[in-house]
Amino acid sequence: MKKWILVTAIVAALALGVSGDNAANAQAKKTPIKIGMIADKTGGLAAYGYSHEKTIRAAVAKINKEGGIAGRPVELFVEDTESKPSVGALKFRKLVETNGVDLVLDSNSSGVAIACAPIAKELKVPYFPSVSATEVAADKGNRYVFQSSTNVREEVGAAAKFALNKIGKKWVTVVVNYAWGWSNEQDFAMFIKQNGGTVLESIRVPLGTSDWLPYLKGKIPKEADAVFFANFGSDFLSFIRDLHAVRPDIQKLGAVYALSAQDIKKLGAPAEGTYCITPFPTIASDSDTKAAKTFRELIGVDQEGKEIGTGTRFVLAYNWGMWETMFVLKNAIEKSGWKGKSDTPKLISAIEGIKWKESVEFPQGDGYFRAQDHLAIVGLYIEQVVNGELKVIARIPAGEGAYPPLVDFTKEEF
Amino acid sequence: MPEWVVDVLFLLMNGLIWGLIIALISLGLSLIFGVMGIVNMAHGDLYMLGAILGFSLYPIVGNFWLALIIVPVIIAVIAGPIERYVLRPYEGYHSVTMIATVAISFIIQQIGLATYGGIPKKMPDPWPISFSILGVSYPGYRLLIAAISVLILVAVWLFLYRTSFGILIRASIQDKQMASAMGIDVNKVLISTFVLGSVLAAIGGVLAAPVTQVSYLMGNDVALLAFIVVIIGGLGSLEGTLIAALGLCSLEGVMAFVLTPTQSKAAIFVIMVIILMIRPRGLFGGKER
Repeated sequence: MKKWILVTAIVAALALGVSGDNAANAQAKKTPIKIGMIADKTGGLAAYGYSHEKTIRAAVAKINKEGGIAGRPVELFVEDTESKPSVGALKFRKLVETNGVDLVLDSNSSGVAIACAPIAKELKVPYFPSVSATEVAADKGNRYVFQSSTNVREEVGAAAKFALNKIGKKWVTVVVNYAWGWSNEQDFAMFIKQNGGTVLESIRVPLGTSDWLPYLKGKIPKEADAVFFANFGSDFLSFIRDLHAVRPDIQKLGAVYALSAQDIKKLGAPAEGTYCITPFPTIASDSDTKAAKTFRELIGVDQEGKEIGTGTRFVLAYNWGMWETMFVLKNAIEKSGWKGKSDTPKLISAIEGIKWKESVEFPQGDGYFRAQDHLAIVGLYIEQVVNGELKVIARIPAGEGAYPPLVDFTKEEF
Repeated sequence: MPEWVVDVLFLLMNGLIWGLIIALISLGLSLIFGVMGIVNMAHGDLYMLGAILGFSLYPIVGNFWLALIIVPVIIAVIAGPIERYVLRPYEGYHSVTMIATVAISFIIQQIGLATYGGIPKKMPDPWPISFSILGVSYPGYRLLIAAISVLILVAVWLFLYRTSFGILIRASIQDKQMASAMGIDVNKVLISTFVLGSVLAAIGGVLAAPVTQVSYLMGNDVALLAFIVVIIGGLGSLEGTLIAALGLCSLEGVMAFVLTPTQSKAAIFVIMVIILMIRPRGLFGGKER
């Protein structure tokens, strides 16, 4: 009798344990995965914040429509960085500590990302900024941060040979005076020198400068063949106008960003012939893959990269990174069995080295997150303004810009 | 001519042209302080409001110059009630009125953000012609706004020194209590001065819109320089404001030849400190009232 009672009690306990576990799993499946986004909705990078938010929301909608991640719906929380590192850092904390998000995506500002990286580690929240500063995949990053776009060293490394072979040997760099600009200036100079060229002058200009003439007049040596520039938005418009005023003859190569969200037709003679590096073509062409075309439809942009209905220009050069990161997370969460914050190390380990193939979820092309420095390794394009239109004139395969990792985050404790 | 001379002359010319725009904006600030004794912390935002209104009106009216005429009228309609109902009740209480103008600044900025948005934009050049000057294909529009600024400054001078109402304003700058005792309707002078000062800032904004980045925060940079100009020129001194604006901006331009432009901007603060150490009232400032 006592034996039967004992067996019954054990079976009952097991049944309760299993059902409790199932109930917990069922409960976990219903609770949304909370993803935070620190978007640059106002300030100098407002154009990027706008299009990134639309892109991520489109990705969330697609994922939820297809059953969520591991059966759980995705809930998005968005805050505005005002394009300022101090504000971005505050909003990062708010998303994690007040809204309870499990993961954070975005800012396009290298300054914001560098400010938020230590907070991501402190709060043990994986962070996926859409920035290009090389430092994020180096001494300013950490094991919780994944650089969800190409970085400057990768971009200029891939473009340097093209620059020397097709554009010129003697260069001047003109960059905006903050982390992203400095990365472009230093890495471009390094690769140009390594490949036999020279950089004659380096000019730094504060973000938001309207009058570039004092920075350019008398500062570009006569023997310079070309200018490599790193600026964007209204800064680019002022720069290209004033550069044309002082040196209409000089060739121009822009860093990724430079032509983003610009109406090429309205730029006129100052922009004619300008080259630009980009991870994703601004203008659709017949050579686009089906995946790239579908991606444009899903995020609601037309052939020229403008939002259908509003005409607002998206920043496709970076939007792809946020879109693809959502699906990297989906794959990694489902593969690792991540259920919550306590499983974050498993998730990070799953993302380190994760590879993807070109598809609707990964329209930019084949690529992977390099395990050591958490950098996205993908291919690049060179565009040029020809007769007032932007055309892709060269394609650089994934890995050509890859450089030896500067750090090894896999050795870092969680 | 040696190349370095050409470069210096160019930077001097470019600085003078910017100085005329800054003079226009700073003059409004100086007038408001001179007559009302108010440090208008919202002055930069009135400049911004002018730029945003100009940017928004241009496609509607189809003509930049028409927008330049309409915007001051709109600003006058906004500025009048601000003076009458926000500032006048606290006349004489300098701290309170300064705080009130800070609040006005925040309100204008947030309205700008809510309506215009956070993305800085570029206005099309209303006169897309270039002139070859000192080796540079210099935008013709910048020369045009310099000329317009000169005309407006002359018009303001004529108003202040050749009209009877101008005499009333100058009397109020000199001694408001005595002016009131002599039968001058000081309230009318106050509201007119605030409106005039605001309109000058807004005109500066419309003129600057095609050559700068129009955003809801654009007033902050200009406000700082305008305050420096007014302080160096002497609070309430119109001649001082003009000389300080032209002097500082052209000096900043020339310094950019030996320093970086960023260092030149910082050097302006050093100059301000030196001047104030030698002449605490500014170059042309009057005695404490």
